[in-house]
Amino acid sequence: MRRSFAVALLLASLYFLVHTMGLDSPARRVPSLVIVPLVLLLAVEAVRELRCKEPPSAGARAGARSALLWTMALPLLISLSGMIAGPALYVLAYLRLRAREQLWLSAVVAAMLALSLAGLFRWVFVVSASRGSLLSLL
Amino acid sequence: MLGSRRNSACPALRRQRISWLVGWSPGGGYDTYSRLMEAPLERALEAEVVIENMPGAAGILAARRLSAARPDGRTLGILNGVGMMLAPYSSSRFAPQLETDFTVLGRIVANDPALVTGPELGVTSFEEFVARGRQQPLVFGATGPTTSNVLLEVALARMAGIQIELVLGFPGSQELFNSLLRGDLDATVVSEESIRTMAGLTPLLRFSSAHGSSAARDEEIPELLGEDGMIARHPELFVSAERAAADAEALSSLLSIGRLVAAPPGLPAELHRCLEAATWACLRDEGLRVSVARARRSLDPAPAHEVLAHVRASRHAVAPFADIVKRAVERANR
Amino acid sequence: MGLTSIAEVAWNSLLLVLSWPNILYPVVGTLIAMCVAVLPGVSGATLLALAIPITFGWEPLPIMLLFGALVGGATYMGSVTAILLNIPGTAPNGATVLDGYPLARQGKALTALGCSATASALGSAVGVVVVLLSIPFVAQLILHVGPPEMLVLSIWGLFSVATVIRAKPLRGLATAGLGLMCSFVGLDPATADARYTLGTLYLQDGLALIPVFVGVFAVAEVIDLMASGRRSIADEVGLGGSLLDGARAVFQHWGLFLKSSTIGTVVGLVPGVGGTVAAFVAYGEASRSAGSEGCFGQGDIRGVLAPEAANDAKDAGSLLPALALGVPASAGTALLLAALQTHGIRPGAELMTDGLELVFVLIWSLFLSNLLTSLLGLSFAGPLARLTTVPVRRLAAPILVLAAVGAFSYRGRMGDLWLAFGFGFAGFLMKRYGWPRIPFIIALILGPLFEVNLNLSLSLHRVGRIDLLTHPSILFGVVLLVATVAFPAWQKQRRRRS
Repeated sequence: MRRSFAVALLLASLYFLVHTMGLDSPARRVPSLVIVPLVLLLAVEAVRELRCKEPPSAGARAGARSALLWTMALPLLISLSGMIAGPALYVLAYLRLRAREQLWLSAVVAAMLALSLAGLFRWVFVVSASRGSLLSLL
Repeated sequence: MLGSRRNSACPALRRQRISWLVGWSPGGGYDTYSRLMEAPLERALEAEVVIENMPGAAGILAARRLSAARPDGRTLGILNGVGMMLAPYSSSRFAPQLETDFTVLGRIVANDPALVTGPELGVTSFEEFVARGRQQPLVFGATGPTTSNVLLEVALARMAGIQIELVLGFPGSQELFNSLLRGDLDATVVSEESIRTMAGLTPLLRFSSAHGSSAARDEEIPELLGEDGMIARHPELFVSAERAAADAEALSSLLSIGRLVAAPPGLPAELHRCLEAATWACLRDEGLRVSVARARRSLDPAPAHEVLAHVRASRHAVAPFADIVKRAVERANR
Repeated sequence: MGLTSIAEVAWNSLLLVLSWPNILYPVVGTLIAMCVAVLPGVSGATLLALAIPITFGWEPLPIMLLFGALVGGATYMGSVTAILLNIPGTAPNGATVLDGYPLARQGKALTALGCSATASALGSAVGVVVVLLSIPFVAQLILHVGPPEMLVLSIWGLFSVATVIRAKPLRGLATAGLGLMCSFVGLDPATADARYTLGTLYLQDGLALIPVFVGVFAVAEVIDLMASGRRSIADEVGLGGSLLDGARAVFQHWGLFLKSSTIGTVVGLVPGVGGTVAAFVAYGEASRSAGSEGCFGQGDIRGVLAPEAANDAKDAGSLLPALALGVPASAGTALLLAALQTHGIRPGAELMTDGLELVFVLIWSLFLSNLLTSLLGLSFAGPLARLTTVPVRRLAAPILVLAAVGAFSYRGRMGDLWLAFGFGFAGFLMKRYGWPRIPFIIALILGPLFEVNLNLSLSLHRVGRIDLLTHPSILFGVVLLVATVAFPAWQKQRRRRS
């Protein structure tokens, strides 16, 4: 994974390089000054990483995978249920399933969070809370 | 009564949040006008107006966002009218047309630009300025390629037969002023009210005869047009006085378009009508007049139909200038 | 204006600020700013934007009093999250993270917080003194900072930050380069051509800083906490250290404190660049002067002292370019200028001479606010420090939700939320595999400044106004750059030999 990440960064810089070459002259002037040394730097680092032995870390990978899944669940829930219900549902699920807290405690925390968010979006924030795609259908 | 405290001009927008897009950074002229209009517009619409700064590409970034927004009345913005007239002729791939890509709701103030120089150039009159410009190229600064200052600088160079070099990309008028004071630039064109409190700069010429409720318009700055204007009094300063007068008239008409309040295109008729009414009520608001004067700015409102008349009248005037602007910008960007 | 007259105006302004009922404005403003600054994405700039329409009918004096407090009040909370959670509240707090968080991991959160609060309060005082002494000539000095100077300083700032993480300077430069490229995403400022937008309207607005910042730090940290399997941030170490130890450290290293505060104020004077990199420059200098004796990056208290002193000292200094020349140092000062303009208070010579009393009211209000936040911060340090012993399984979800709310509330766009989490994933991988994140963020902030000033410098060179090859600033910049990069390398070589 370490090596893949270094290669991914190099690939990202190559995307920037290719796109830069396709820009008109004034728009590409500054990016082209940056991208060429950047690609070289990242290539050096990628080669360095590829030469290193990657230590086995199956346990760490499993932990990271679970953490990533839980993390990405939040924006997904918000997209579906909106900016008030989404975080509340997430906190409820997280506290109950991952943190193994009691259901009543998780529910109380989730409810308080929903109320706080409703208040914040009503009186503090200058943007409206997203309703989410599911609630928008209703 | 439209715009009164009791009746909202637009019932559909009552208690809604309206985004107001500004294509420049906080602190500049467009931002200042937006913040001054926030409260009276909220009163007129009984809604909440939220200002969103989206600086970039001399206002085009915000103009694109405004044009693409949903026509539900919840997105409004302030536009550089002259810039929008020039944009279709620029190298930008997005070329908004003022009449079709926006719904113009009214004008806040006409452009009232002035030519200004710094201490390093050492000239104190327009006559000396022209004489210098005919001897050696003068370096002008501007913010972006589709701004009125580029147009006026290039047009003036053609009228007076002076050589200019353009330096584009200054973030705002303050940076232009500082560059003038340092001697990096010889001259620039900015709004007359911006230069009022900047010590050390010399205003040489005003391009339009715009009036309106101006806090302290400097009447000593000579104008280009008119009986006492520079063209009439000193025709020798221009390559062709007749042509210069025609150009100046065209520019004056263009400058009358000014800073505009706009919405996305395709507004439903009722919403269009009520937003126009609310904008007009806001621009005529006494509180706005007082706060604009306090901010040492000018107010010169015009309803949408008048603005659109100026746009149509100026349409033919833009094309000849657009060509020379495009060439000057290409040279600047090489 | 002579120093004596300036001192007199400063003194009268201070008395004005401390008088009743004027004192209410900075106190209330600070409390509001502190409460709201807990929310990620809601900064001093947001508060100013909210305050502008409210203050329309006000006189200039209360406006300056309130705005000074709003600008100053949010700073300390950024340090708290930097130390306790490895999440800097603002980009300048990124320097505090480097040693503050390791101290928290060692169970010395209280020491770090105590040092931070004390250095902040006293640094702010030094900042005011330096500003007082600089006012007679600062406008002239800043006027000489043109596009070539800004270019040199932005490059120097980038290199300083990239190489401050001594272990991996090349990687720091690489991530700085990536940050620069990300800053170019959007419309080209000169031609409005779309760059690296993948054909989407969303990316034409560029990569919004706040969602990226929240993602790279807050979201990434939460993922790391969840993945690490640690019981709590302080883990088995528990809570130790003391506020008094932290406060005492400032006096024990008083020379470093004075140097860092002065660096912060002077660097903070530089428009645009200074506010962002002042803390890093101070950190880098502290690390350099400690040499082999220090354990910077692993919990050296001096690594908290230096950036914290510089961070608050710079606040007063960063106001001057905005007030003297109308050139804002940050989003916050840009909005301050906007607010002043709507009230007819124009930056420039007029304000710096006839309106100097108002300028000092702003500075004193800012100073008072910094002092108040430090005092209140010290009072709450104990309960705050206990966050490091809260089980991760209880901490992770609230932080993640706060991050999501912060990212979304910036502009109300779902795209920003996904951007934050996307960069959160990338930030986690960067942290895990040893790619520094701070240079990435600093480059994202400085990128537009770098591009604008490079273009302007090249244009001015083209028209013959400057000669980039012989311009004094460029030459000085090259020397500075070489010193910034080569000196640590030379020190490292020397240490290896000895």
